[in-house]
Amino acid sequence: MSHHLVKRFSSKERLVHWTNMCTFIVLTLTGLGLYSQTFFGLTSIFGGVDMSRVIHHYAGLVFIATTFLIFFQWFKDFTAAGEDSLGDVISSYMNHDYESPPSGKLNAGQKLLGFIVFSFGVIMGLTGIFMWFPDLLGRGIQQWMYFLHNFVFILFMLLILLHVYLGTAASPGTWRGMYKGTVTKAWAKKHHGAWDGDEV
Amino acid sequence: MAKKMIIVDTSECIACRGCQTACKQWNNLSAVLTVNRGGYENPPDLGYNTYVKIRFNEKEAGGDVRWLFGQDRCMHCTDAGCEMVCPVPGAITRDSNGAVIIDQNLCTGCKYCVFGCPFDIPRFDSANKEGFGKNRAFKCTMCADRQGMGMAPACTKTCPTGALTFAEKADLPDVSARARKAGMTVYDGDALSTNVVFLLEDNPDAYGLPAKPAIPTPAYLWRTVMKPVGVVAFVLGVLAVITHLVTVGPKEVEEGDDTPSSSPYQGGGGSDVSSPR
Repeated sequence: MSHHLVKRFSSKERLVHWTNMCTFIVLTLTGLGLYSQTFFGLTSIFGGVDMSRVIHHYAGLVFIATTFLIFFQWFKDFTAAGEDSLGDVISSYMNHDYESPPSGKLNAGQKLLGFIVFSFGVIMGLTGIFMWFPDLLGRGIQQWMYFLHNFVFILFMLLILLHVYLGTAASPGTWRGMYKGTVTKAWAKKHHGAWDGDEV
Repeated sequence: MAKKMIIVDTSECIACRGCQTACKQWNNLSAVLTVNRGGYENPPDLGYNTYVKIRFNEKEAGGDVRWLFGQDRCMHCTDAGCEMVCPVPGAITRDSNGAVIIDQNLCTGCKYCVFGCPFDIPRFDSANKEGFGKNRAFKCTMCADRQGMGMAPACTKTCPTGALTFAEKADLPDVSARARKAGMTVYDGDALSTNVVFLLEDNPDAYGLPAKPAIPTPAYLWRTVMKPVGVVAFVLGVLAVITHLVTVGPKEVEEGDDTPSSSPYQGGGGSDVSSPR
């Protein structure tokens, strides 16, 4: 019946990624509410500013933990050799006739994303811990922690916007890999020609 | 009401610390148990229950040691860093007299104001001694409650030498001119335009005051610069995504014999993708 499907991500891998995704959304909404009076209305979603802070702190811990789990569970895919380059990936999304060398399980852009997301996660986690316990550092350094947390968040948000777009509307059939864990053979051939996934 | 100011004329201060006591009395602040540190300066720092403190600055000149008495206190900036970084509407406000006031009932204890203050003034009640909740910020209120009843702040009321005076902010040019004529430095926070004005006998450094007071650069970048940058970046990002979607369009998988579904969004809507065509 389902000979046309290929296993993409295990349920364990998907659970980790989903947890990371959900905490990212919660952290974004609570974080914006805690950032500025402009976004203060968002704190009411979470039962006020005090509760927003509690949720932000503990969701942050889960987010950092799952960021590490993601990095390690896909580390060998992030570091795998591949024939395609980042330029190939970009070109293939800008021009559908572009002939890109076949990608492995992850294309060059996804590998790069893996490293950037991990780096951003670590920076957000570190600066976040110092915002939670602001007396650990000197005054001058601490002031930069707030700025860094905010600055890296903006980059992170843009990156995740791109990631979500490429994983859904820009590339039909991809979402299934994160939703059900399987993709169609045709999808695998089109996007990851050099990847030899297991049939389901 | 017209803006007011507290003038701290350091040449008149005899460090009696009456202001410290009057402040505690009016604001009903508890005492601090301290140890002898070998000097008259006490307590060692401002606290959630200490809004003003006389600082005994020592300056050596020609083999002599001179005391330069200064006062640690909220400067009540017109351009207030604490107010700028505070994320809770109404938690830090400025009243029409120019006083910058923290409302502990609204404060959430994030400590942003501590690091946004150019003068390192707000302090925390980390053990919830005041009962507002942990880590609520406290500092001098310029006795806004007294001012509301037409009274001068407690510290200025009690000062026996005239070192602390309460005046109309409009008088600042006259006060400054007189002080400068007497060879003193007028310290009003430059661009911050503080409503506490120091008349100094030496340069600000000697009193532990920042020579160039300003809202900390990272705080300014964090809040004033990055907020619009972030909003614009997000909107542009969404527009870029929409533009790509409607011009270049999605990277469709060509339907082959082994693709099952009529929907291009396989699995996205929970459609039955497992049955072959």
